[in-house]
This record gives sequence, structure tokens and C-alpha cells, in this order.
Amino acid sequence: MTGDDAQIIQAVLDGQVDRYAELVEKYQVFALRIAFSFLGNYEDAKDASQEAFVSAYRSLARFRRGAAFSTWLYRIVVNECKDTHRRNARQPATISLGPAQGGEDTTPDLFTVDVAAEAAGPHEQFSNQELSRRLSQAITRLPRHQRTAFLLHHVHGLPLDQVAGVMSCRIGTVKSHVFRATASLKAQLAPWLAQEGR
Amino acid sequence: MDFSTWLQSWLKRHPLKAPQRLDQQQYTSEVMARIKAESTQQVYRVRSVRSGLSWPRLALTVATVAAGALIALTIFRMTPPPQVAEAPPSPAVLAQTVAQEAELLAELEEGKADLLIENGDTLDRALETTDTLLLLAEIPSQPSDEQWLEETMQLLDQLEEGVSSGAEEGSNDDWLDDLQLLDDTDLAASS
Repeated sequence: MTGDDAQIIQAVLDGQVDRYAELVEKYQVFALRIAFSFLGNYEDAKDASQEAFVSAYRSLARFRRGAAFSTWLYRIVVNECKDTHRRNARQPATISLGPAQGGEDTTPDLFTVDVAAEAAGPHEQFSNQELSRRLSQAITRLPRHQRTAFLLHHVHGLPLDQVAGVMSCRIGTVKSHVFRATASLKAQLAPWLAQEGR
Repeated sequence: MDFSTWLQSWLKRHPLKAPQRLDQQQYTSEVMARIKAESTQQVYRVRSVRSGLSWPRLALTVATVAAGALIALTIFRMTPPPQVAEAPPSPAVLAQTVAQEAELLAELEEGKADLLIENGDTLDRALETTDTLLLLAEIPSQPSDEQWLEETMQLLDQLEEGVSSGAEEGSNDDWLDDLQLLDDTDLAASS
């Protein structure tokens, strides 16, 4: 935990509740991105990340000194995303009154494909958009632990030890999850990549 | 280039989408509003509990004292009173009591001796004799001592005749036979 975080937490525990806003401002983007990568929906991601901040405030007195506040917060965010996912799964399916979508996969693509920045031609731009969509779908199909480890390590760039802290497991376990996730993604994307000549 | 390396490089070039609609200040204010609302509720809960406990404090105290007194009274009533130890009598009083009781026993023994029926007479006859003696004692004195003396002698004669006839009639065998007969009758009736 950085010295700033420790000071802020101590001030909040001493009664200066307003100083918690500093932690919210500091970590909200990352918390929101993690939630969005798990839920694929902006509103759900916002609700889950905000709920995580409130839960962290409630449990702030139990926060272990010396640990990283960010790791602790990300663990809460991931748990909130699981709860949101569970709640959404329990909700009855809504019947669409609009025209049939013809089996179109509505999984949102999670990754930014900046078309304007792409130096390649239109075909490669389209190919990247298609890859983004297929990769998002493949990540969604991963088992939960593999998806969490892959997203936190490869997509959000957290080091393995911090991922282990978020997932409450050993680094070796995280490595195993990441390796299996990568192999699964390769298996899912290989046919399309071969077709595209990549 | 293997798949893992290629994927990592692609992910670096195409980062995760950032929520474009995010208003960071609004996000923070929403979180802080919830936190302050919870803090206020917690303070209100503590205050409401404290204020709720303050006003009936006197009533609670009185009720507690009354309940304690009721329990103590119930326990006191259910507990048997302790036995008061009697002081041992003094030797002089004890000796006097023993003497009185011995005297009483002696009188009873004398009374028993008077009631003893010679020759196995029945209790009814003994009682009849006693009644006759009592009747003699209760006869008022007559103006004429001779008449009173005559009547007394007649009664004594009757008494002697009763005793003698009883002695003649009542033998041990007859009395035992009567008892045996009574026992047999009772036995037959009970069976």
C-alpha cells in the first residue's frame, strides 16, 4: 500500500469520511474497467464497481495494514461482478417483441479498435474488429477462474503476484489458469486466424 | 511468433475499451453520497438506541426492583421455616418430669389391677361391676340411714351374686369357645 493510501485510510477511520473520495477518484477507472471486462455492460459495471467502493468503506476497519489497497479493492470488485452475474442469471429471460436477430451473438466486444489509428487498409481494420468481437466471445466462454486470471494479467496488466492476491490463491495456480486460458483461446480462434492468414 | 506472444502484443495495441460516458466527478459523488447516507444512518441508529434507553430508565429500574422483590418473596414463601432448636431441660425439671410420669404410670397400673378380671370374667361384666360401684357412690344420702344402709346392702348382695354367678357360668373353656366361634364366623365371612 502506498503511503498516500495508508494516510487516507487512517484519516477516514479517524472520522474524516470525505477523504475517502480521494481513493474513489484514484481507483475508479481501473475498478470500472475490471468490472466492464467481466460484465460487458457499462451500467452493470458502474453499479458493481460503486458497490465495491461502498463495501470497501464498510470493511475499511478490517483492512489489513501493509497490504495493497488496490489489490484488496480489485478482489471486492471481482466478487461484486460474480454477484451481479449470478443475479442476472437468475432473472427470467425477457421476450423481445422486435424482429428476430437470426441467432446473432450479442456478446459485446471489450477491446478498443481505433480504426483511425490503424495504418493498414480497410480489410485489416475490419479484421481487427472481427478479432475483437471473437476474442471477447472466447473470453466469455472461459471457465471463471481462467477468465479472471487471464483478464487481470493479460488484459489489465496486473503482475502475477497481485493477481494471486486478488484471487486469493498461489502464483503457480494463477500461472496455470493463464496458461490454460491462452490454450483455450488459441483453440477457439485458430480456425478463424488460419482463414485470415494470421 | 507463438500464439501467446502474438495475443499479448495485439492486446497491447488494442486496449480494453474505456467507458466514454464516465463522469468521474459524478461517479465519486454518487459513491460518497451512499457512504455518507450509511454513516448518517449508523449515527442515527446509535442515537436512537441511546435516546430510547434514556427515557424509560426510571420505569425500567422500578420494574426491575419490583420483579426482584417478587422473586425474593416467592422464594421466601417456598422455603420452609427453620426449626427452632429447643433448649434442653434442666436436670431438676427433667427429674421432676420423670417422677410425675412414673407416678402416673403407677396409677395406671393400679387402675389396671382393679380392672383385672379374676377367673376369666368378661370385660362387660367388669364394666357392669364398675357401673354398680359408681351408682352406689352416686346414691344421695337418704333421710333415713337405715333405709340407705338396707338398699346398699341389697345392692352389694346383688353385686356379689353377679360376680359369683359370672364366676360359675364363665369358665375359660366357654370364653375360648366363644372367641373361636367369633373367629370362625369372621373367617367364613371374609372368605
